[in-house]
Amino acid sequence: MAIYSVGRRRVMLLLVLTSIFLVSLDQRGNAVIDRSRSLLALALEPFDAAARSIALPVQNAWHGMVSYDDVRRENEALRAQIEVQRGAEIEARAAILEFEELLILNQLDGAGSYPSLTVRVQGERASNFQYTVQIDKGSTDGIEVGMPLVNGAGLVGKISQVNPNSSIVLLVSDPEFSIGAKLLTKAELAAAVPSSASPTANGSTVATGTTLADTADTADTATLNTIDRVPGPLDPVVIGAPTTARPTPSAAATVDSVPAGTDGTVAPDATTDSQTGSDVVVSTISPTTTSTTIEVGEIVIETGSLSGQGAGRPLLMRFVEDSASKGRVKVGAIVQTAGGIRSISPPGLPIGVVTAVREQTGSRALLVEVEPAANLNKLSFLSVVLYVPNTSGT
Amino acid sequence: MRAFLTGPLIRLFPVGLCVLAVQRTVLTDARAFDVVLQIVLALAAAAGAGAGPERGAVAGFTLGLMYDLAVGSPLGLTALMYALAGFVAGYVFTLTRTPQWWLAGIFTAIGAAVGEAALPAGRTLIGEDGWFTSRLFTIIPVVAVFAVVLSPLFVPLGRWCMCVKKPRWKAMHEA
Repeated sequence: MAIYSVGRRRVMLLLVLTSIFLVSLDQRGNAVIDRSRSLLALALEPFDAAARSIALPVQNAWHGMVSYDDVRRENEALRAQIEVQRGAEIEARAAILEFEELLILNQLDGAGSYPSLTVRVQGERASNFQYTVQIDKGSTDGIEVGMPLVNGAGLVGKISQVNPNSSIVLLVSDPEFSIGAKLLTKAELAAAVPSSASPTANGSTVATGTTLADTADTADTATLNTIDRVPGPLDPVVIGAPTTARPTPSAAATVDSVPAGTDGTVAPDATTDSQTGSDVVVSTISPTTTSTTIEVGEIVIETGSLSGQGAGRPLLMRFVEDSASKGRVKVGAIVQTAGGIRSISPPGLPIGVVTAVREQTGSRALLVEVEPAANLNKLSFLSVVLYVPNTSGT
Repeated sequence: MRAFLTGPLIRLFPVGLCVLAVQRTVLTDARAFDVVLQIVLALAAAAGAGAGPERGAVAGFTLGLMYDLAVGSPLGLTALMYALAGFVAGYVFTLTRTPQWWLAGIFTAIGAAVGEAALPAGRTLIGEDGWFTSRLFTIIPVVAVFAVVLSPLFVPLGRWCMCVKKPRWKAMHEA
């Protein structure tokens, strides 16, 4: 058989030029390349299936021998975790219902408004320099490039390549991944409670926070000054009637304790601060015997760009302004997708929790480290949110 | 090039499909130190050690293109790095006077290490930052050791794919 022979330099030069040409084409997007990917994916399907069917029994046997104790321990830990989370789930369900009700009232789309498709993870990343997984559904099921994927915990990634019967998902941990995110935090306690506020005569205060505090034992009716405005979807939830307070414009300041007057009436200036716009939402169930106070802290929204940094490293949120008026970014704050016309995802998909806040020299913008809510190392079933951004702006 | 299209490509393509299937299924779970073992890269480097630098580069490029198409990485990037792996493995192997199977293993490892180390550099060149981390010091040795382990099988396989018979392989060193 004839062996081709071309000069060493010519071969390398040709390969380098071809490579540069192909990279340029692919980065700009090319239908021929996309078609080639789909064709190769189709050609690989029987090979993949054969490899899986051969490897699966061996893998199962190996895991059975090596990982049995670990799996048992993990199982016990998970059972304990489920018990702990049962209580939280009930609270969360109530909050979700209220949230959805508010979305409907305000005629807004939430993350739950979009249809989704459940998919199974077929294979994890094949490269050390790309954090992707392969899922078992593709363009024939309506999946398109850019659609976000979530699991029970939060955002997992986005579709980066679609084949007829499979797709490749770029995980949030990949440095190439980037998405607009919003940060939900709460205002400072000191800003919310003016210095003139004084505790009650007996020193008692109304318990506050994000939990529901029943103040029936006070047997008082609380009244508040209000600000005339239309409540937004993220405004504090008001339960019961008649309501004596309305939500604030920017929804929600965090107050750890609110002083009540001796007659049970909360002093207006103690709960409504003109600078921060924070206030406490009080509703009266019975004017004579019971009053239920819900305090929802002021939710301050800061938006920024969130990107991955690789496996084992937190996500990084950039362009977050450190503003006292909007509230300091704190560890533990919740991060969600920001949404928007050009965003790949609808607003409100949970991403994770702030684990660290770093300042940059020469800039007021903060670098915020975010721990993803989803465990990206153990992905089995995911939901593709069938969301196509409205890039036309209409 | 016509000879390549009618000879080695016909062999390399089905072998590449099989190896790619293993890469995408078995090796995504079977990791060492959380490093994904690179069987396609090992074959590219072994083809270089078994068939010489030019043919190794062409084999690496072909396998890399298939890898890019299948995995979804930027098309042409992995191809170039795998071509480099095949070329380096073949080049250092031609420097030896007498070809030995264990030397082929070592040079396969060198080629694989160079190819894997070049990947983050290539990604940085096209604007994808964040890959130069201390994890490279784990990834590269693991990938290289895996290439050594596979070399007794892959060097002859690479040589067969590139239509190089053993006497000709030995003659490359004598020349």
